[in-house]
Amino acid sequence: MMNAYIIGLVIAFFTPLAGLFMVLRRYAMIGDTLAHIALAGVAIGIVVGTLPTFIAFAVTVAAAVLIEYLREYRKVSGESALAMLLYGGLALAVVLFGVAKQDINEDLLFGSLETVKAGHLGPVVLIAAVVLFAVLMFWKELTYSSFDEETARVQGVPVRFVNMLLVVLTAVTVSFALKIVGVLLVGALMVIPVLTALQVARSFRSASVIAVVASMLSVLVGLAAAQRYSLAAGGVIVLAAFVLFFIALGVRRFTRV
Amino acid sequence: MVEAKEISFAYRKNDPVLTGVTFTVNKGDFFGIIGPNGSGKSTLLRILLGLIKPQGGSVRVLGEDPTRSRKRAAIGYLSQTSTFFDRSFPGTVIEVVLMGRVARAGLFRRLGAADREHCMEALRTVGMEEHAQRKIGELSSGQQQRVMIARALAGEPELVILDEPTVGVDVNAEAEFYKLMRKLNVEKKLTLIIVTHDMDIVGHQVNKLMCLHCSIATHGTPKQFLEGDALHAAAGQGIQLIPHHDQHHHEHGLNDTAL
Repeated sequence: MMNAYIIGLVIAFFTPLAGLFMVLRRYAMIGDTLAHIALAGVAIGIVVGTLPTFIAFAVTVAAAVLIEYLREYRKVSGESALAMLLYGGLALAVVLFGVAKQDINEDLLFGSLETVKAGHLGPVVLIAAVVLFAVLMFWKELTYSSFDEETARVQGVPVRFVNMLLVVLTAVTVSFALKIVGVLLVGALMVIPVLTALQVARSFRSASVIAVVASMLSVLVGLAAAQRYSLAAGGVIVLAAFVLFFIALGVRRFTRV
Repeated sequence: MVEAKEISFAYRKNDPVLTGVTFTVNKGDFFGIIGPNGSGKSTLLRILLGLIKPQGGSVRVLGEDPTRSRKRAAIGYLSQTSTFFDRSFPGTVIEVVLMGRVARAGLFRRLGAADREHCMEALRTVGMEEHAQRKIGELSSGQQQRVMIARALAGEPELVILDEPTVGVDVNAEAEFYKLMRKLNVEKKLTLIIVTHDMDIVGHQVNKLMCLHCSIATHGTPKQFLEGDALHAAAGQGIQLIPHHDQHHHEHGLNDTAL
């Protein structure tokens, strides 16, 4: 159980970092889309009979690159690209699970503490370190291109690279966060703590700190409640994130009056 | 600063947006590019910014080809949508102005105290220093625009390009904006290029003016028109007009004169 807490908190730490930039780019649904792609990746792994986690990871990153390509070259709008790939991923997953004569595992959809093993700890910490390093390294470029992409581009900021980096980091984040909250709720963990932060944050720096704190608090409360009352961890985590959002909304209203 | 020779561009074959556009912007100029909607202003702007390449002719901005320029960080840019951002964006004024230092700093370098000082100086120039810690979304549209100008100035630009800067701001803010531009041009010796459909700038602000696909209705022959005072009556005294012979314009048989 200790492993679930550590992994949960590590995931809660890095999920909103990618989420913050995505929400500000009106790309809030990307987590959901990539999670459904990851589901298709797992299905491919099951059908070919090898490494479903790794294949899910690779397929998710490839889909993220495709989404950014479609958006960058204006083949379809960003929002439409997300919708299209979400349904495409889900359809592929449904077909492939049928081919493998398996039902879609409930743990995959809703996450499960039982799926978290000590062996997962190393890779998750490594991925968290990579995401954190990349976000800090390109913080100013990510911030600038999230606020005003056109001007950043005109001034020679490598916007295309930064955008691609961000979607890949998001794909990495989603494929690892799936473990704890499942396909259906991973997007929520990426978005809701960020929306909570946006209610009360006065600066970009404080928004990122508040989002991370809200996310970690949700995971902590969710895991504790799930353990104590035998509830579905993913669901309780997301409900806790919702409660924090409404508290932040109240704080905002109260401080403005 | 800018040298454009015989620039041409067409999105579709046989339907040129720009043909034979030639002009020079010198250091210290306040250069206006005006024209009605669809006249190719935006296309010309995108060429100057290096976002697209002209299909004919040549253009140098700060001595470089804008599409491959290493001097992009030396261009301050104020887009017409600069104040159309999401109001819930969690940035303070100083955080937004610091973005103007990002390109100059380059990758892998954190912005430090010196960058902050440049930004505060830029905020002082536009009269917004006391708002440095306020959230950007809480300011009025005029104040936000001044912050965006400060952001353009924070990068210590050699040239500032403004695209329809008065779109979306109220009349008072517009007057303030032009006052500030004049100050930057005269006192700070900053070279400015303004692209607008706003004819009010004619004769009031800029010292050089180029008009794309403009028509001035007049009686008489083109020769009489050019020798008379109709141009200055329309554009104001003391303004230098850039001759611009637009093939496309003449092909349509308009009996007026392109500036």
